[in-house]
Amino acid sequence: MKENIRRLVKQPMLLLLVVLVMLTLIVFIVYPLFQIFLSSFISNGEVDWQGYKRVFAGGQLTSALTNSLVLAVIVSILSTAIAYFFAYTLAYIKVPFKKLFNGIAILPVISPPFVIALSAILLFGRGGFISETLLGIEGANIYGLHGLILVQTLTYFPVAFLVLAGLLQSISPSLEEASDNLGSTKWQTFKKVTLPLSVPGIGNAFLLVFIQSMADFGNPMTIGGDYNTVAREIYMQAVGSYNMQAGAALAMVLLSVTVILYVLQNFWIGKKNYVTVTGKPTGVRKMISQGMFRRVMIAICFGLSGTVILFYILVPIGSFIQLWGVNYSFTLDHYNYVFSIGQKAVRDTLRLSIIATPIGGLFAMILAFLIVRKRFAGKKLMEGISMLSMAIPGTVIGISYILAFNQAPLAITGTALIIIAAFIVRAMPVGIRSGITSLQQIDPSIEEAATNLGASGSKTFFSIVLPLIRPAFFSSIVYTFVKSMTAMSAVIFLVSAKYNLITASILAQVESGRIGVASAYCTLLIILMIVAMLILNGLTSLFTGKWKLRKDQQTGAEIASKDSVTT
Amino acid sequence: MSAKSVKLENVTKHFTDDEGKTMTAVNDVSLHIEKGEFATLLGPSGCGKTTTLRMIAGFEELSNGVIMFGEDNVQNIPANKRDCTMVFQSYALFPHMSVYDNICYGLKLKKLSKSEIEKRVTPVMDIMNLHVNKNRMPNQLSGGQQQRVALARALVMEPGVLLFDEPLSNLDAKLRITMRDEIRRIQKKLGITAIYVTHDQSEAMSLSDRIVVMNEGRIEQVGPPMEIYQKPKTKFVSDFIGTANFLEGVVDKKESDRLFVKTKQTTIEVLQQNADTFHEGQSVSVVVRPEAINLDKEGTESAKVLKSVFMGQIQEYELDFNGIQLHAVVADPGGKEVYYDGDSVNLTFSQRSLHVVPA
Repeated sequence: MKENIRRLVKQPMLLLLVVLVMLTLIVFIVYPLFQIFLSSFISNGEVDWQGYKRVFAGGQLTSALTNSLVLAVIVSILSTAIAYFFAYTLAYIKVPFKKLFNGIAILPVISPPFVIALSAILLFGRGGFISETLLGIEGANIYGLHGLILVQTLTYFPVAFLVLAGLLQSISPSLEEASDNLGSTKWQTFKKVTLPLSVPGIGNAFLLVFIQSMADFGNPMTIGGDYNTVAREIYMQAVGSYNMQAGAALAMVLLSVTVILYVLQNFWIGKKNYVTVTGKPTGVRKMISQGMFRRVMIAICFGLSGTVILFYILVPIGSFIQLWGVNYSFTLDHYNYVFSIGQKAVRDTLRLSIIATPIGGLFAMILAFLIVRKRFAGKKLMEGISMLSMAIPGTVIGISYILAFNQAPLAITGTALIIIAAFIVRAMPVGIRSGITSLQQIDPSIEEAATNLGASGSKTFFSIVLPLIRPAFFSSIVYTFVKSMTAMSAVIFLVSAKYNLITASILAQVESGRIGVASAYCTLLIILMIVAMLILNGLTSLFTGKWKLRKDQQTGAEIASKDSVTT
Repeated sequence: MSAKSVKLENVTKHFTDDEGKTMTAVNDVSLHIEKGEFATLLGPSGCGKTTTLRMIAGFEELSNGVIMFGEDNVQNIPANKRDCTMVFQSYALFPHMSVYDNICYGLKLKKLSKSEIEKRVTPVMDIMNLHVNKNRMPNQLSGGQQQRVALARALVMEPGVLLFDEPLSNLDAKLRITMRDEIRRIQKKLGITAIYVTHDQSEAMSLSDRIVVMNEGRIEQVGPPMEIYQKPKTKFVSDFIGTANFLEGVVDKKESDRLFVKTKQTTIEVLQQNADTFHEGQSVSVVVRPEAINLDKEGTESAKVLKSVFMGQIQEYELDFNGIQLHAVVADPGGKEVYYDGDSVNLTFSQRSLHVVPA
């Protein structure tokens, strides 16, 4: 302890950095959460249990909670099953166009939160293409639980897929060969070896989808109809009926659920991982390259992938259609709207995202660096807060920011700062984690060598550490940008006349039934993001091409998509 | 280059682990290393040698004690301002910089001009034979070349003290010997003060002016290699340096320069300079080096051969000597009589080579 303090005093820059980072974390994470906690117990200046009573008394809030749980259970089971099917096919069967599947897996990371929901409306809604035009059903209703299940499953199964694909690929083929060798049939080997080995991964995928489904805001807002869910209800309580206490109490409950699940996922399942890397070269798995089984599996996979792709291209198509379901003629009206009246939202979103991106990327790297490499008083706390931030749903951040920053001493509601802060806090966990992983692979004596040769702390960080963790840094930057551009659940609470965002505009258009304009916004957002990712990936390969730390250098987007899996 | 002496006074380091348990890594170490001296910290893993080196470099704070470079207490000098450079076990080359950029990294930080840097780097690259590889990246070099770059990078700073943290442990056996000779040659040529950490005794023997044997955070003995080997002060040192047989016994009689030790097997007379530090009746161990056991017909003691192995340069024996097992080595076995498993032999101990340590 004494030595830790002495160390800090000797490096004033480090001390300053630690204090600054800590302060930022406290102001933008701890303090807002504390404010929700307080508000959930206070009504009209008095302490009571009213908020929690309403959450559990059996009314609208209770149904939101049970609805969310029911939805999350169904979606998690479906997503995990589909994902396992996909991952197994890719790991065990020779499949053409493998890249395509990985591309699909990245889609939900980069796409705005309600693309699939919009498509679902276009296909199955009132006047939907399939429901009415093809099947002739009048007044079909996609809104509600069934719509949400469809949309969330399609959105989240790729997340589970990434987890399971990684896991199945890391199962040593020699284990299965050993089983075959001992006389098992293929089915027995699957049942007795492969499946048990993938149980931790299945659990992991299930919990991840569960958390995301619980915290989802965009889809329920778009397609939830009468089916009320927690994240949406928090928004309704806080913004709609301005009942902050009920909103805060519900947010506390949601936060508790996600934190518990997150802890469960990390500590319980994380420890139960049977797949070990031995360093011994294991053989390459012999892929199934023919037979009926293979053809059936591939057909199902392509069918599902086709469905996902169909959902994604429907939105751009819809953006050029006059009035979906009524008048299918081509028009540019929606884009005219977006580029005239809606232009401000586009500009604000871009500007705020561009500001948040480098700050968020760098902040995550600095935080990861402090956690992995430095010893200082309060480090455990800093680590704890940044771990916690991974488990906070966007809606909870949103309501907590209104509660915390509406009055002095930190009255920043309505400013750009609060939106930027929300962007960064939402994206930060992924950057921190990829920074930590990346730093742990780097021999600390490389940094000591720099110090030993006379480099100051900041010089070491910028000339040695940052170049070495460049892949993580870029992935953090890509992720921050993408996450900021598509952010909704947190910032929906924070937008104002002064700063409007694309996602908020889309929501407004959906609510007023103008699906065409919403689609145009979505399309523009997707294009902006693809362009940005191409630029960032180009930069990544430009800067990382010179030397290679990993064998197969991944692009920022790929890393970002893998990192994002556990948030 | 102005070499500096290094002085450690009562240096102590405690570590506290996550559960709050305190462990003493370095315990009250005092040591004076002369200007231009090559000193080696030698000991088993966990003996505190690396921690000591890291405290000298400034990577670890002292829990107690003082470290001086020349006349200066370095307590308040941060690691990046200390006049010492280090060669790391893993080399710690900057993977994103070329060989040349690696070597002049420290000079650039000193804000030297380009020509100045060139002037200092060139002779170092000459000694280390690195010119061909100047523009290569570290991962394109062999282990030996990487080692040279690491050494060049440290040397070019012209430090008052050069620190080595097991720099040769990643090289294969042959290269290790070449590099070890090279390090010694350069250190002598430039007259640098060097502190070298290793657990390899042959490395320590061949490199050092003095060896500092450490165990469990403490210094066991400091001295030139020959003294450490021939006149170990403790049982630990005699066991750790070379191989040793121990005959346990008590001091039967002592004279000014010799001790008579009564063991279970026999009474042994040992020439011992510090005989006066022992007292009659004290429990001691007689250190018998394998080469101090002579096997011949005239020997006064008898033993039985348990195992006999021909190793080329030497013949190795495991002997049963009245109930204890002795390891003996006979050099140049070609011209001598060789005994086999089960043979009875007579043996004598070369009196000069025996040594007594407290039990």
